[in-house]
Parts: sequence; C-alpha cells; structure tokens
Amino acid sequence: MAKICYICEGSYPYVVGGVSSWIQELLLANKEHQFYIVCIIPDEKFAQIKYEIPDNVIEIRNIVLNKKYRISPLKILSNKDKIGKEVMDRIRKAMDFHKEDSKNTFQLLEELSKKKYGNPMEITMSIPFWKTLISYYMENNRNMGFNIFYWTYRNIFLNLLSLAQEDMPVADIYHPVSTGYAGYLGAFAGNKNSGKVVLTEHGIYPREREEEVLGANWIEKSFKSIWIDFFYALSKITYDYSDQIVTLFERNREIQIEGGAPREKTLVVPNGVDTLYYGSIEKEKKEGFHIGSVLRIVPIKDVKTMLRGYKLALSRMRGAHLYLIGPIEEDSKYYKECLQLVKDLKMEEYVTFTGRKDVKEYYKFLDLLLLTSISEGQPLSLLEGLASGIPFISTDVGDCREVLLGKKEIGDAGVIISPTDYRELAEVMVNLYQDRKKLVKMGERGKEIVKKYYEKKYYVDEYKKIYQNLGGEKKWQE
Amino acid sequence: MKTYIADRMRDKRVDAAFELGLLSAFDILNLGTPKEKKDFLVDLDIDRTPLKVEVFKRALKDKDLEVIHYAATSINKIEENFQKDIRKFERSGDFQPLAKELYDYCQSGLLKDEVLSFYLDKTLGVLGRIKEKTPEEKIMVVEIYREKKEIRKSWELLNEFFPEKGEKEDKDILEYKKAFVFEESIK
Repeated sequence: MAKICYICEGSYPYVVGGVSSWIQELLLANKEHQFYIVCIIPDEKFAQIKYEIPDNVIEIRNIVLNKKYRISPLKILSNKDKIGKEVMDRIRKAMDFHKEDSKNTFQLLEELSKKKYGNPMEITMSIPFWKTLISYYMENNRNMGFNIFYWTYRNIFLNLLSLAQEDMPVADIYHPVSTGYAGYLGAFAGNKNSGKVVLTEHGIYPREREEEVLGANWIEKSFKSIWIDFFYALSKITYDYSDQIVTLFERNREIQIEGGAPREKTLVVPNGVDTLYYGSIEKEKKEGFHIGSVLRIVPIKDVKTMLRGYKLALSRMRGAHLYLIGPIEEDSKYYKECLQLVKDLKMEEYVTFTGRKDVKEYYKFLDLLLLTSISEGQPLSLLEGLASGIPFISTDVGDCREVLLGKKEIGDAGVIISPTDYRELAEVMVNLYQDRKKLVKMGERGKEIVKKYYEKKYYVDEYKKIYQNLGGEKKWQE
Repeated sequence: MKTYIADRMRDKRVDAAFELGLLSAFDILNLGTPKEKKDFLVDLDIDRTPLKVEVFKRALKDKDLEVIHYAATSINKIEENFQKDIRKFERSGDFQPLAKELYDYCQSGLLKDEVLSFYLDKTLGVLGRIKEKTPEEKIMVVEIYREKKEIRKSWELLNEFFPEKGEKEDKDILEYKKAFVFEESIK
C-alpha cells in the first residue's frame, strides 16, 4: 500500500466535471492505496463537496490562494540582515520567468520557506525583496508603470512563497492533475518529502491561462507577457521535478515536449469509460428527435452557439427537443443568459435544462449528442455518449477529431464542426436528422471505437502500473 | 448628419484600405506557421469589429488546433463584450446608446439568419421608442429594413425621414440616396 496525494486546482471534490470524475474513478479503482486530496481553492466558500468520498481517502486538505497574513514589523525589518546577497541574486534570477532556471527557483523557495524569514508577506515586504525588485525593474521593465509592476511581482511571489510554506501531507507519491500551482506544489512537496511525482495533464495549463490573460481587459498589455511567462515557468518546474509526465493524447504530449518536458518521461494514457456499463443501456424508443448535451452550463462549453445552431435547425427538424444535462449552478449569470437566449429565440417548448441528472436515463432515448466547447482535452462525456451508441456533432477541439474521425478501420462516429459556427452546426444537425440510417451507423461505430481504444480498464491498469513503478509496490511489501 | 454620412463614406475608404491589408492577413492565415498565425491573431487590433470577426472566422477553418482555439476564444470575447454593453444599456433604460450597440451587434458579422432577424427586430423596437430620432438613428432604421430585404419600405422611410427638397437637398443625403438606388439595382 502506498500513500498517494492528489493535488488539484479548483476541481475535485468541489467541481463536477471530467477531471473530477477521472479522479473519482481512480480512487475507487485503487482500493489497495490510501489517498490524500489537496485542493487549491480561491476561498473557503468554494469547498462544497460534490462527490461521495471513497473510504480510501484519508484526508482532504484545502489550500486557499491569496491568504491574508498577519505581519510583524520586527520580522520584516530583521529580514534586512537575514536575506543576504546570495538570496537576493537568486530572487532576481527567479524574477525573469522567461529565462527562469527551475533549480534556482527551487533552491530559493526552499530557503525562503524556512521559518526564520517569517510568512510570505513579511518576506515580500522586506527591504532586500524591495531592493531586488527595484533593481530588476530598472534593468528590464523601466518602460512599464512601476505601480502595477510592483503589485504583479508581489502577488506572484506571495503565491509561490505561500505554497512553498504549506504543510503538505507526507506521501510516497504526489500526483498533481495539472501543472500551474498544483504542479508546482506537487513538485515542491515531492522534493521536500522525498516522494515521487507523477503529473497528469488533461488540458495544457499555461495555454489555457495564456488565453485568459490575453483576453483579460484588466491586465495592461505590457504585463500580459509577465503573467504568460510565469505560467509557462510553473509548467517547466513541474516537468523538471516530475518522475512521470502523463497526458491523454499524442498532440498534447507533443505540446508538453515543446514546453520543456523531457520526452523520456512522457506517456500517453487516454481516458476510458466502462463500456459494459454504458454499452448495456437498453434503448427506449421515444417519439420525436432527441438531441442531448452532457455539460456544465459554463462559457467554455459555448452553450449559446449550441442554442443558436439549434434554433436555425429547429424549423427543419419536426419533433426535435434539446436536453442540456448537467449542473447549472457553477456560473449562474451565464445560465441566466442562456435561459434568456432560449426565451428570446422562442424555444422554451423545445429546450430543457435538466440540471445534474443520471445521464444513463437520457442515453436510453437520445438520438444525437452535441459538444460545442471552445476548449477540451479528451472529454469523458464524449466517450460515455459514444459507448452508449449515440453519435456526436463536436467542435474541433482537444482530441475530439481523433476520437470521432481518426479510427479509419472503424469509420466515423460523428461530425466535426468549427467552434462558434452555429450555421454549420445547424446544417449538420439537419443532415443527420434527415439521414437516420447514417445516424445509427455512426452510433454503432462509436461503440466499437470506445471498446477498442477507450476502455476504462486500460487506463486504470496503466495507473496501477505507474504507481507500482514509482514505488507503490515496494512500500506495500514493506 | 454630415458627420454620420462622412463617417460612412470614410468607413468605405477605410474598408478598402483594410481589404488590401486583409489580403496579407489572409496570406498569413493561409501560409504562415501556426506560431505566426497565432501571433498575428493575438496582435490583431482593428477598430472595426466586422473586419476583426471576418479574420477570426477565417482562422476558425485553420488546420492547427491552437489557431482555431484562439480564434474561437476571440470571437466569443467580442460577443461577450457586445452582450455586456447591451445589458448595461438595457438596465439603464437609455435607448439611444442601446440602439447604437444593438445596431453595431447586428452589423458585426457575428449574427446570422433567424438569430440576426431577432436582433434586427429588437433594434427596430428600441429605435421605435426614441421619440426624436437623430439623422443617424433614422439611417439605422432605413438600413435595418434593407437588411431585412424590405427594400420598398426602406426606400419609403428614407424619403419620409428626408423628404426631397429640390436644389436645397442636403448633399450628403442626396449622395446616400443615389448610393441606395445604385446598390439595390445591382443586387
């Protein structure tokens, strides 16, 4: 038996979704091990458990980012003598995220996480930190406003120091499920507690953050590159300190390698679903044409494109009904906007937001599934739907094209469309509505594809092997 | 009015200039490396939203997932900004900026078919609630009916809003009317 510590950022066990379901499955499938769950969350209110926690989870620990610290002026002043030139040089080096050398950052944070320097606020408010910041600014960023520069760097270092000072559970294996803060924390804990580190990346974290940063109106253009470089640097640190780097599909693996992951540490383990469970769903014939989408009602799923496409197709699909199956409370503002859109487009009779429901009940009678996300990895909902024999129309995101169209020996299990293109969505929907034979054929192929390539047993066994290879078996024998 | 018509004409000139730029933009999207394409999209800073949307829509058809993804995110961002402003003006009950925002949304290239029809009608509804319309708002009404393919009504409204004044006819209005007739006759 090994003690394994999952580290998540804003997901399990508080957010329902692909990553959380994936963790839940692995917890249930690895009864021989004990697990800690460390979840980085924005505030305590976030911590509302959404899953039934398996017995082998021995602790759930929350880490709140942007903590409030009490400060001692004496400690701040005394850091003037404690933080010497060597540490200042390291801070300065670590500030250049673009050229950042993860070993230097590690050694620096290891040093600064010692109690003698006080809490992160007492460190970042100290004279040596201030002087280092000024000199870095003068040399590299003089053309930027100093005020925002200061707050940007102070926030970044506060978070890094805060995580470095966290009291992490002592585990044999640390398993962050993304890079970013979770990966950094995993790498740091593994290094500190002599544990092994296995990283699984579902999406590519810095790329997702990059988009947010680029699209954020509140970040001045010149500061955007600092944030982007910082997130890439966090990934690099995680890659450098991981023993095994896993992702879900080949394309992501290549991106990881481009981002600095050593090729020999990388491995692809696709998601998987229980084909017996989903494949044995007994179909119920229901009058009409039933379209579904299993999703959280959040902007990244681009529900509005789905609703608009459905509107354009509706007059050409007699008896059609759209079911949006999944939680509605995560972004209540967006949910209300979607409801308003349904009302504006006069579709109240033809659309149902079911909330969180047992999807199996819907898979019994759905004819077609939709996925209109603007970003995905390898969605479990796609694999579950296909395993139930229902074809998909999906946007060209993540691994969806490969899953639906890439298995040439079996054939296509759906249709790929461009993200946000609701006209194309409408056309494809109507075409499939008019060609039921094709729809049935695609459904059969989908089942075959999942059975051959995305069986749950495969990914569960792969992780058992990974844990074993990283010392889980040895610990168990001891 | 003069300003509006002048803007409209200038827009056409700007559009023409941009069309040339657009060729090179599309060249980048056709021939550039994924990184060049992504950098180009990131740096894209065009005031005219319809043109921006056009470029992003072209990028949606790219082979590279990163390029597609960035274009989709940008389109959604533009959409979100429109929605946000529309909600803001709806809450404040200020019909004039609301009508302008809705009109720009309709012109943005983001809306198609029945979805566009819905917003055109909505804009007309808001314009209808403005008692004393500015010349710009009158032109908006005319243009919306043109968009809705109700050309006769559109022409009648144009003449109702801006009756013929013989030699005293405003030069810009006269030009607009001529352009209207010409554009509709070649469709």
